[in-house]
Amino acid sequence: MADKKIMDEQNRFIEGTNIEKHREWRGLKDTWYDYTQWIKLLVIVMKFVAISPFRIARGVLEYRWMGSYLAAFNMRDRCMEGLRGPALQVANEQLNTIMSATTTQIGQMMKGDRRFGDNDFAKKIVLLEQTMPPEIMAGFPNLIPIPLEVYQGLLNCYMDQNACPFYIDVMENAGLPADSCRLSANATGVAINDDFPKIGACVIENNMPCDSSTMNSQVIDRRLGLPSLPAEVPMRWEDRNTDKYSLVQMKRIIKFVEDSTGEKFDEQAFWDVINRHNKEVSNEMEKWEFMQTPYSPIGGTVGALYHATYFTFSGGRNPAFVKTDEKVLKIAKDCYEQKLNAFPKARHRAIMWGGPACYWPQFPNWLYNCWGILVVAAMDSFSGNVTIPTTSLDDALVGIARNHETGVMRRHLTGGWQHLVEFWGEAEKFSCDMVILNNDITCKGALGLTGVILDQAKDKKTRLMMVSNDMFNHVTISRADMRKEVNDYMRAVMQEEPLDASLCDYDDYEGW
Amino acid sequence: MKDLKHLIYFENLLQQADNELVEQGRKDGKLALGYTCYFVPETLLNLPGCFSTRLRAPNTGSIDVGTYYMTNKICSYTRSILERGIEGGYNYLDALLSSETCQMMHRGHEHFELLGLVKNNPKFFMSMMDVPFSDSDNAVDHYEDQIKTKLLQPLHDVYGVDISDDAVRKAIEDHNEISAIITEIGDLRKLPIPPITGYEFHVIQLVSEVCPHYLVMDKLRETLEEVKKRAPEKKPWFRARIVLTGSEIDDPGFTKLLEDCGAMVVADRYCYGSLPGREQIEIKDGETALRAVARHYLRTSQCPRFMETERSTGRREYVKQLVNEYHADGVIYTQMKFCEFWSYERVLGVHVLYEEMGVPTIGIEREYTVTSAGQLRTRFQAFIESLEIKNIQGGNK
Amino acid sequence: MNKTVKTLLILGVGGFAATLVMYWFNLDNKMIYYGVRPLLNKLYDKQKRDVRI
Repeated sequence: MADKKIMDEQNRFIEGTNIEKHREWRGLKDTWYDYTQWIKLLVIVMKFVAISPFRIARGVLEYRWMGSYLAAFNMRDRCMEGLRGPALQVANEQLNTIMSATTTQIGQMMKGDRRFGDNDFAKKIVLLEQTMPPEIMAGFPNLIPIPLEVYQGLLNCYMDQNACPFYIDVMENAGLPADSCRLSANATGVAINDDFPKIGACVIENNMPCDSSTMNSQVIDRRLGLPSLPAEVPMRWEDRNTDKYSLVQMKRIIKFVEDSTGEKFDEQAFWDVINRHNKEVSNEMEKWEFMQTPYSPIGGTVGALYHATYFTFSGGRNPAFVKTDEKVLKIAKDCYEQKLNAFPKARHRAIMWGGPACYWPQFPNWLYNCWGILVVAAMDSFSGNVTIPTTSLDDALVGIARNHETGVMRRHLTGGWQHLVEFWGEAEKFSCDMVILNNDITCKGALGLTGVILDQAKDKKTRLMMVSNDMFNHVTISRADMRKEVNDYMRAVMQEEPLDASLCDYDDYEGW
Repeated sequence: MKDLKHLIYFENLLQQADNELVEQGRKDGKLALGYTCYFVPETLLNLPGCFSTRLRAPNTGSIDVGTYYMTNKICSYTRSILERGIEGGYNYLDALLSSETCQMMHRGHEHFELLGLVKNNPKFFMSMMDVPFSDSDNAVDHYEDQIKTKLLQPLHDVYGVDISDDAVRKAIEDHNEISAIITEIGDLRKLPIPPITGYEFHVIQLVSEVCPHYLVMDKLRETLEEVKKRAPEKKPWFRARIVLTGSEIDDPGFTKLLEDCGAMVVADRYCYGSLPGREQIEIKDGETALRAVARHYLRTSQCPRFMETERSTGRREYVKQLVNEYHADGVIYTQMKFCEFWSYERVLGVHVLYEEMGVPTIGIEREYTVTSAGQLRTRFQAFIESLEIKNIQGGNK
Repeated sequence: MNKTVKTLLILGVGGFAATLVMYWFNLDNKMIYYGVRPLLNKLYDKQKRDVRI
C-alpha cells in the first residue's frame, strides 16, 4: 500500500517554493483516487464561485486576504503528502468537507458585503469573534453565524504563509509591540487596514482564548461599526460555581441577537442543532478509539484541522460533518478489522501540543515523511468535545458555555496549569512515545509553564521535543528554522537518520 | 521644600517585601495575606486578624531562575516576583490570594503551588478567583460569589478568620480611614505648586499597600498634617505636569527618574497607584458589606480587561478627566514589556488621547527595574520639552 | 453514432485529458502562483485604504 521506496521527494518541488513540478506519484490506484479528489475540490470551488460570482471576484480584487485563498489547491496537496490508501481517503474526505464548509461561508461573506452594495442578506449574518463556537446561534435557523477573523487570520495563514505578516506589520506600525500574540495582532491589523468585509447585523465578541484577544476586540470594535456584545465566559471553567454566571451570559447573548436582528429564538431548531453537535462529539470520541491503535487511518495534519473546523464553523449546524464522520468511521473500522497499518513509515507516535505554526499546517506530514514521526493527535482535537445536556434549556445553555470555555486554545491555557500539561496523559492514552511541543514564542499562557514542563520531562519516558514557531509570522521563525530544530533533535537526541534526506533542509521561503 | 519627617523611614520600608512592619504584624499574631491584583480586594485582606501586603520584588537583580521557569518573554514583574519567591522572599506569607485576570501573573502565582515556595507555613494556600469582564449587576453577583468561595471561605476554613458582615464592615472602615488620608495627600497635587512631589506620594501610597495599616496609620496621619503645613517652593521645580497611567509600577525610582527630567507626576493612574484604589467604599441601604466591596472594586477598576465599549472608552475619558482635575500638561502611558493588556491599551490610549482629545501623550515600554534609564530619560526629556514649548506658546491653556 | 453523443464523448475525453494533464503537471497552482498572484499583489500594493485605529 505505501511506497516506502519514495525518496528525494523534495526534488519534486520548484526550488525556493512549495510548488510541485508535478504531483505525487502514489501508485496507480492512489494517484487515480487523488486525481478524482482534486476534481471534487474543483467542483467545490465552482460551487463556491456560483454563490455570487461577481461579488466574489470583487472580493478577490478588494481584499488582500482573499487572494491567499487561491492557494487552496496547493494547501490540499501539502496536506496529502506521503499519504496512501485509507489514510489518503480519510484525509481527503475530511479536507473536502472543510473546504466545502469554509468556501460556503466565504461566499456568504462576499454575498452580504455592503462594500459591494447593501442587501438584505447582510442582515442575516451574525459575526462571532475569533474561535467562538456557533452553538449559541443554534436557536436562530434563519441567521448565519460567521466567524470573524478566522477567515482573515487562521485559515488564511494555513493557505499562504505570506498572508499574515502584512497585517501584523500594520498593527506594529500602529504601535503594538512585536511580542504580542500574532493571532490578535493580525486581526487588529486587518481592522486597522479596513480589510474586514462590511457584513453582519451584529457581532458577538469574546475573551477567547486569552488576554490579547480580550484586547483586540476593543480595537476591532472601533472599526466594525456594528452593535456588539462581549460574551464573557469564565476563565476558571473547572469551578462549577461559575455555571450560574455562564448561564446569564448565554441568555444575554440570545437576547442581544434577538434585539439586533429581530429574529426570535426557536427552541425546536435549537434542539435539532444541539443533537447534531452531540453526534459530532460522539463521532469524535469513536474516532479516538481507533486512533489509539496502530491500525488507524486518522493521523497527520488533517485530523486536528477537521476538529477545529467543525468546532468553529459547524457546531451542529452543518450536517456534512456528521456524514463525513460516518464515512471516516467506516474506513477506520475496515482498517482495524483488516489490521492494516495505514502509516507504515511511522517509527514514532507523537502527540502534538501547543500553539501551532499556522504558516506550516503540514508540519505533521513533513514529520512523517522525513523522520517517520506520526502525529496521532494534536491539541486542538482535545478542545470542546462537550456533550451538551438535553435535559433542559438552561442545562443546554450552560453546556454551550462550557463548550466555549473549553474551546480551541482556551481549554489548555486557562482554568489552571494542569490543563496545559494534559499532553502527558494523552500521550499515554494514545500509545505515543513522543510529545512535540509547539513553542509559540508569543503565547504567554503556555510560555509561563515552560520550566515546569521541562522539569516534568526529566522524569518521563515519553520524549519531549520543543519546536519554536511564531504562529502567523514565518518571517521571525521560518519553516526551515523549524525543520532545523527537529533535525538537530532527531540526530542528536534520538540518534536517528531521516527516511528521506532530501526533506531535511530545503528552501520554501517564497512559497505559499 | 523641607524634607518630610518620615520619608526616609518609608523609603526603607520599601527596600524589602518582608520589612520591619510586616515582621511586626506577624509577631502580633496577624495573618500576612499577599496579593498583586486590584481585583483581589485589599479591603478584605484586612479583616480582623489579617493584614494585606501587596507583593513587590524590590532591589531585584538577576531573574535567571524565574526566566528558566517562565521564559524571557513573560513580563519581568512576574518573573521578579517568582524569582523572589524561589529565593524564599515570601516565606512570611500565610496565603496568596489571586485571580485569573492576567495570564502571566496567574501563571506566576501557580508556581507558588507547583514549586511549594512558602515553606515556613504548612497551612499556606494559594487561592484563585474568576473575575468577570464587565460590571453589570450579574457580573457583580458573580464576583461577589467568587470572593465568598475563593477568598473568604478558605480564610475562614484554614485560619478561622471572622468573615461575618460585621467583620467586613470593620475592614471597610479601615480601608476608608487609610484611603481618606492618602486621598487628602494626593489631592494636594492639584495645586499649582504642590507641597509634595510625585515621588514622595508614590512612596507613601506604596507603604500603605505593603505594610499593615494599623502599624503605619499614625505616621501617615502625621505626614498628612506635615504636608498640609509644608511651605511649597516659591516657583514650580517642574516644567510639566504629567498624568502617569499604565500597568504595574511599584518602583518609586521610576517616578523619580521622570521627575528628575523635569516632570511632576500629578496623578498616578496605574496598577499600585491610588487612582483608583483610595476611594471611599459606601455601603448602600439594604446592601451587605461584602456586596458593597464587590460592587466598589468592579466598578472603580480601570483594568483594560473590561471589554464593553462603554468601559473601554470610559478608561480614556477617565484619563482625560484626570488631566483636567490635576491640571496636567500631558499623559504618559507606560506598559510593562510583554504585557498584552497594556500593549493594546497603550496603543488605543495614545491614539485617542492625542488624536481625538488633543492631549499630548506618549507611550513607553519599560522593564520591572529601571535598567534602561538612559533611553527612558531621553524620551522623557524630549516629551517634557515639547510640553514646555507648548505651554510657552500658550497652546495648552 | 449520434452527433450529440459524439460531441459529448469528445468533450468528455478532451476534458478528462485536459484535467489529467493539469492535475499531473500541477498547472493549476503554477498558473496561479506565477501568473495570477503577482498581478494581484501589485494591485493590493497599489490600493489606498482607510488605515486608522
